[in-house]
Amino acid sequence: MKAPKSASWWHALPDTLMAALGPVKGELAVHYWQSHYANKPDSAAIPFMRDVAAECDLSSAERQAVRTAIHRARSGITNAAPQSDQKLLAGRVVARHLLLLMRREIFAEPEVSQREFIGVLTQQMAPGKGLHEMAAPVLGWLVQGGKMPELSLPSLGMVVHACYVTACKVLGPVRGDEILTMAVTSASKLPEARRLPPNALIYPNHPALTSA
Amino acid sequence: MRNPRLLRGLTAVLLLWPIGARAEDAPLTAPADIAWVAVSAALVFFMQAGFALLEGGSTRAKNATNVIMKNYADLCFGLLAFWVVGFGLMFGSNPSGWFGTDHFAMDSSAGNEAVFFIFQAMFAATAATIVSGAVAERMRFWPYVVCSIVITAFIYPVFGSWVWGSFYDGSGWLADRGFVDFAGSTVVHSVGGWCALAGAIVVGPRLGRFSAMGAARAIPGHNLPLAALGVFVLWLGWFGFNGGSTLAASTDVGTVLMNTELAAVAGVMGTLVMLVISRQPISTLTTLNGGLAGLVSITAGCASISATSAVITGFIGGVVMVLSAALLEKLKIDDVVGAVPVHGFAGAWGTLAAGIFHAGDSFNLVRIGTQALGIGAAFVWTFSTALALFLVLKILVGVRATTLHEQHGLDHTEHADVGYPEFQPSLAPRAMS
Repeated sequence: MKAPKSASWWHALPDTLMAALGPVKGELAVHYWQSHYANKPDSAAIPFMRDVAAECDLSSAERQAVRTAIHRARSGITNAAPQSDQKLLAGRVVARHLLLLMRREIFAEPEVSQREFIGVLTQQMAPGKGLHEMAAPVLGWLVQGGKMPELSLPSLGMVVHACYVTACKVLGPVRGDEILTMAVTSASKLPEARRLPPNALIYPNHPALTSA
Repeated sequence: MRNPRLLRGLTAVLLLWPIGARAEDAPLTAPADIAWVAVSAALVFFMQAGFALLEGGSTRAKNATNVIMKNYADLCFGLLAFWVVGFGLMFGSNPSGWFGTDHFAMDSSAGNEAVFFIFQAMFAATAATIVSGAVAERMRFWPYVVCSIVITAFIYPVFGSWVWGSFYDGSGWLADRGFVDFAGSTVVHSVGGWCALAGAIVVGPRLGRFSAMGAARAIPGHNLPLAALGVFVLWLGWFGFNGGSTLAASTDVGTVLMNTELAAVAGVMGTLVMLVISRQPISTLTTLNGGLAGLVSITAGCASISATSAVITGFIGGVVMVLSAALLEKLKIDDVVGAVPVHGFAGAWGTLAAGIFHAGDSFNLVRIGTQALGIGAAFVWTFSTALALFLVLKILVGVRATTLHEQHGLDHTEHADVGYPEFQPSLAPRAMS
C-alpha cells in the first residue's frame, strides 16, 4: 500500500479509529478502511466517514467520535504525540504567547478594524492552506479568545505565518516584520522557549523540531 | 622589376597602406584606443558593483544578499551568454539589418575585436542587471538567472543590432534611418528598463506593498549609505560607459565626459525642483536616482549635443524620473529601486532629446520622428519579449517566492544565508542552534 505524499495522518488512522470506537467496532472500521480506502487518495477520508458509519452501524455519537478523530488526525492533532509531549506542550505555550502578542499589536494600530483583520486572516486560513478543519476554531480563538485549539507544531507554524501575512496586508510589511520580531523576542524569554524556541515555529527545518 | 623607383614606391605603399587604412577604417587598432576602451570596460565592469550596492542597500536586510547574488549572476551568466550567442546576434555580419549572423562564441586571438567584445559584454550585463532591482525581494533566484541569460543572449542583442550592428558588415535598420543612440540610452538602459517593467508586472508587488485601498506603502531599504555609495560608483562607471563609447582615445572623449557630468548634476536639480514643487520630502533615494536619471538621459546624445542642451536633457530627465515613478505607484507596479523610471523612462526621454538637440540640426522633426520610432521599437520589442519570457517562466516553474519565503527573506530561502545575522538575531538561522 502506498500512502499519499501529503497524508502523514494516514499512518495514524488505524490507531485513531481504535481509540475512538473501542476494540470491537474499531477493529471493524480498521478492516473496512484497509480493504476499501487505504489505497485511495487523501480526499477519500470524507466518503470513508460516510460509508463506515453504515457498514459498522455506528451510532450518532460514534459517528461524531470518528469524524472528530479523523479531523484531528488530518490537521495534525493526535493523541499519540509525534513530538515528545513536553516539546509539544512547550511549543503550544510559546505559540499562544507569540500569537496573542501579534494579535494585540495588530489591534493596537488605530487604522485596523477587527473586521478587516478577520477578513484577511480568513483568506489566509482558507481551505487548501493546510489547516483543514481546524481553521475555523483557530480563527475563532484568535478573534474571540478562550481556549487555544490543540494543534501540532507544524500547524502552529502555519497559524503564525497566517498572522504575519495578515499583519503585512493590513499594516504593511515594515510593521509586519516589526510585530513578528517583537513577538519572537518576547516569546523567546519564556521558560518554555528553552524546550522549544519560537524560531522553531517559523523555520520548518529548525533543529529543535527534529532533535529528541 | 626594371624600374627601381616603381619598386621603391610599391614597397612604400605596401608598408604604409595597412596601417593607414586600418587606422582610418577599422576601429580599435591604435594602442591608445585599445588602452582607453580596456580601461572603460573596467569602469563599466565596476558599475556592476554600483548596482549591487544600490540595490542591496535599497532592499530590506533579509533580502540584501539575494539581490547582490542576482547582480553577480547577471555578470557571470550574462557574459557567457553574450559570448556564446549575444555578440554574434548584435555585432556579427548584419546583411538584413535585423540581427547578426556570425561571430558566435568568437575567438580572442584578434586583440582589437576582443577588447571591443569585453567592452560590449559589460554593456550587456548592465542591461540585464537593471532588472534585478525592480523585482527584488520577491523573485526566485533560478528563474531570474534564466531571464538574465535570455536578456543577454537574445532580447538585448537583437535590438542592439538594429542600432549598433555595423561592427563587421551591414548595419541595423534603425541606424540606416539615422537613429542616434551614442552610448545606449535606449539600447542599454531602456531595454533593461522595459524588461524590468515586464518583470515587475508579472512577479507582482511585494507582500503588503499596497494597501487594500490601493495606497502605496513605503518599504525603506536597510542601508541608505550603501545605496548612496552605489550611486557614486555608478556615476564613476559612467566615465567609461559614455567615454569609452567613442572607441578611440580622441578629443571627443572630453566633449562626451563634460556633457555627461553636466547632465548628471542637472538631473539632480530637476529631481529636487520636482520634489519641492510637489511638496514631497527631499528623499535621499529619489535624489540619488535623479543623478542616475540625468546620466541615463545624456547617454544617447552625449557626443552630439551642446553643453547647454546636455543640462536641459539631464534636468528634464530628473523630472521625467519623478513623474514616471509616481505613475508606476498609481498603477500599483512595485519597482523596488526605481529601475523603470530611471532606465526606461529617462532613457526614452534622453533618446528623444538626442534628436531634439542634435548639434547643427536642432528641432528637426524628421530626426525627432526617427528617434521616436527607435524608442517605440525598443519598447514594443523588449516589453513584449520580456513579458512573454516572464509569463512562460511563471507558468512552467513559477517566478514568485511564497509568502513564507518573503517572511523569512530570500537570503535564507534562496541561499541558506543571512546578510546580517547580528541585526536579525531572532530570525537568523544561526539563532536556531
